[in-house]
Amino acid sequence: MKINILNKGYIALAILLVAGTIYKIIAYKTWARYDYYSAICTPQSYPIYLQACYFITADADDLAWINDEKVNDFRSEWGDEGFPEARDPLRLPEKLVLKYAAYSEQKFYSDTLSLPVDVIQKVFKEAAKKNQLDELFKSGQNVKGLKFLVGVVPDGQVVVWLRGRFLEQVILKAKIAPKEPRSDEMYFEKPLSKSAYLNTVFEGLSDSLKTKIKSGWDQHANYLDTPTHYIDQNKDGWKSIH
Amino acid sequence: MEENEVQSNKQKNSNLSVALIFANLILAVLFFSATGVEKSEETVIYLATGFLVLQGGYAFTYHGKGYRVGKWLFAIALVIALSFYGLMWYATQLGKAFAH
Repeated sequence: MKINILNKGYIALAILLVAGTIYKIIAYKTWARYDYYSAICTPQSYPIYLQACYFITADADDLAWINDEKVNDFRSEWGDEGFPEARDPLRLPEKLVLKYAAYSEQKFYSDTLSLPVDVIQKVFKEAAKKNQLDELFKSGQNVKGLKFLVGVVPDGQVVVWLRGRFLEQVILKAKIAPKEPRSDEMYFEKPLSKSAYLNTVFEGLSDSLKTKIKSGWDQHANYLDTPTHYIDQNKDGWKSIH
Repeated sequence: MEENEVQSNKQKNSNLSVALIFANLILAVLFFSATGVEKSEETVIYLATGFLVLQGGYAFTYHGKGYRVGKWLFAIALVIALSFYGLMWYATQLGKAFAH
């Protein structure tokens, strides 16, 4: 049979599509992607206003968002991870971008912290083997994965946990130095002075909390070394499922 | 004898074309679903357009009595696609009108 020009075209297209699919899978690195959820928390006595809070992964297209809803509403509690949900599988986080203003100290902090990628990968692999992956909500069907929780306490101290079933491991402890904000970093609808900016972004903070913080509430608490009781609080739920 | 050979070659090519149209369609679906981060509406438009082009290639290559069904299918697909695009265009314009 002599193949006509139309079929040659169709065959060429098929080859292109196969090559394109293979390229896409390799570029996406399906095997290096994990389901995970991330959130940030602060003690109730340390409300912060987040200017930036996200992970950077090896893929610039990854949307490695961190759930900051409770922190933004000033109702976060120490160790509170919120509602764990997952979207598309992501590459593991390599850097944590944090930029925030603290109410009680009236200071600004900003830094990009490097995360121990090898440790994170090891924890993920071992958790999968030991059945320590936790259920994450996903529209369609729930998935199993781990949860990153970023904790921010006074004096620029930051801790990052990796959590699963019967698993809570500190993967990073770091300290960020306070920084005077540039004028373009204090923009809220219009350029503001430092005190005006802080007043504006903390407008939603309740007066009772403001008074409590002013009177020195929790001033000497050491949250960084306070247990979160995460495993204690959840173990009954885990046991009832498995 | 030679006429028969030409006809049989045409028939074989036509069968191969039909098979390749469906093979390409399946490969295109695989290509678009490979990573699961595509926008679904756009994907449907690409697939529909691709299918239309493939069918058009068939309709304009094979002529004669036995191959008319290809032309009919292409015409029907073309009408469906055009009305679909028209509807999409209308919906977008309508959306723009409500944006303000």
